[in-house]
Amino acid sequence: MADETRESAQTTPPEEADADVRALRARFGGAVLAARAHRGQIAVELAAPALLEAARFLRDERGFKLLSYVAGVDCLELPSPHRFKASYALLDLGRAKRLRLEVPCGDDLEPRLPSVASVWPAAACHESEAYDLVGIVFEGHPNLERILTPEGFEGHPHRKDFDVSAEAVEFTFRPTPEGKPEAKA
Amino acid sequence: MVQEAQKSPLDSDLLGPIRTESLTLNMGPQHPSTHGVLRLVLEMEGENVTSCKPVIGYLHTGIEKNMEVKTYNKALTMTDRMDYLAPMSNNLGYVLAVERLLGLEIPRRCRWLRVLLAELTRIQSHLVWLGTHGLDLGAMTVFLYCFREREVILKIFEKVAGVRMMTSYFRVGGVARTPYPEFFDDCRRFLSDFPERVDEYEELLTDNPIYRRRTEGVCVFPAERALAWGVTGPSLRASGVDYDIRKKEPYTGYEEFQFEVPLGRNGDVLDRYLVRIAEMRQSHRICMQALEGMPEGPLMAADPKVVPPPKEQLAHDMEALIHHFKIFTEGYHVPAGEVYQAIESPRGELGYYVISDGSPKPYKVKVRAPSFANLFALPEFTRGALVGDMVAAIGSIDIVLGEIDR
Repeated sequence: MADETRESAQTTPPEEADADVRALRARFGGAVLAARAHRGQIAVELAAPALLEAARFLRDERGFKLLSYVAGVDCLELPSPHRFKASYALLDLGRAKRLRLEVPCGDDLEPRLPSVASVWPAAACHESEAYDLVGIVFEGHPNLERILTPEGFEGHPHRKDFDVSAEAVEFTFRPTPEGKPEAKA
Repeated sequence: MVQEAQKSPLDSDLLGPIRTESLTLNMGPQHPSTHGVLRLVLEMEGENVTSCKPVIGYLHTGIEKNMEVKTYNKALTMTDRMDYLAPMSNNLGYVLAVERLLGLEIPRRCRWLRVLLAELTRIQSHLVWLGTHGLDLGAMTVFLYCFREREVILKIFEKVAGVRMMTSYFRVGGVARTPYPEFFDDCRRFLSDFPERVDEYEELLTDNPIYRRRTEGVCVFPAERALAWGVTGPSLRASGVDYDIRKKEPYTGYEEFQFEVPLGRNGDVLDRYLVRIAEMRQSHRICMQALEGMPEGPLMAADPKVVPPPKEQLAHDMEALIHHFKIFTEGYHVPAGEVYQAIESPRGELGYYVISDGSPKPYKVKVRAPSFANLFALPEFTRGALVGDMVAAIGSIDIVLGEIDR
């Protein structure tokens, strides 16, 4: 029995040998910015404008019915031309095949991406999390809001430049019709 | 009778027509049947739930952010604090991800030991689920029975790892230490009568008319919709979708074991119960195989840069001392790259997306928590349910808020 890591290293397909990568390239051409195979896993870098259509294509024509997660990544300290990217892990159950989509956000200051919640409803909660922690705004999201950090929290804690030393511990009150209740002296 | 009622002083002429309005009901965060600090905002039309909105974050402690400032070894201890009911599964997912980044080869004995412990973890996690789910529906006895068996497993964990729950036993390149001499005997003793114990639980619930009426046809997950919502694990298999990562993308040597993947048909609460009960029996089967065929050989990977040397060597081997010092101060450098490692945790697809920039600390760790996706699928499938059924529904997806909030 071959060890799993060694086995995956041997079967690592050259990026173009992968049928899904070829299909994506044939369909979306220049929108497929790059394709990588690393440790037996395939990642495709895709331009943001093509994301929604590519998501539909992958779901309906390539069988990627399950979206595992959407992760926002701050690439500040990585050798990357873009500051933010989102990573989408897809799974085709029939072929037991996984594919990772990586979509860089064009704007470093106000990262925006189209939401894929209309393709995979599962994306909604993950996108909310990525918005909360990394600050990527997903356009067309049914209800984009902070879900992990407390109400009134400022900043996006998973950004690399988030100041972790200066966290204000605050006990907030839910505003009442009369306004914020005053703390007792 | 009807005419008399119309003449009574409580007639609608006096009080006006009966007015109905939808009601917003706040369930949780401190509620015994939300399995942790979960708040659900329910919109009610009479007894029926018209919409349900999970509110999370009460346990958010920034574990993923915290892992970024720790070496790979130290970050490991954060993992079992997420899903505290399945610590070994969390450890396993993380070490597999890091080992994949390193390209590290793990000895066969270690892989089998990991399978054995991961399956014991599945059993004990399912036991907590079964006990609390029974408790939610008013079956108190099951809880006591389940915790009796769970205690035995936790004792084994304590003896093997030193800690009952936060085990951190699996390490990158192997395990924390050699199992104690009677470890395999203890496992064998526990497993020898476990199937009969499962029979006992089933006697209490499976054909119990009260239990069946609370669960049959309740909170049905149609397979296609469940997939679209990212539901995984036993909750997905109860809808008849045959996908178990242990079978389809075997890791840590699962391809060497014979077991079946239990499937449900209707996708209701009852099916999710039946699937988990059957999974406990399959886990027992895997554990028995692991005990029977446990291979001999080294337990740790042969990579002195990653795996700390045995303590005895430090006294007389200069190289070993240097490696030991390097590993525990600076840590080991992991080649730059990104991997996503998914495993079948007791709750579903648990994945670690780890990005390395080549330094001894992970650049980014994203945990794909099965409970997170399963919970956010719940509103779709509980529309129109009764409040009482909400309790059954929450119990049936087996969530742990620690891994949802991280």
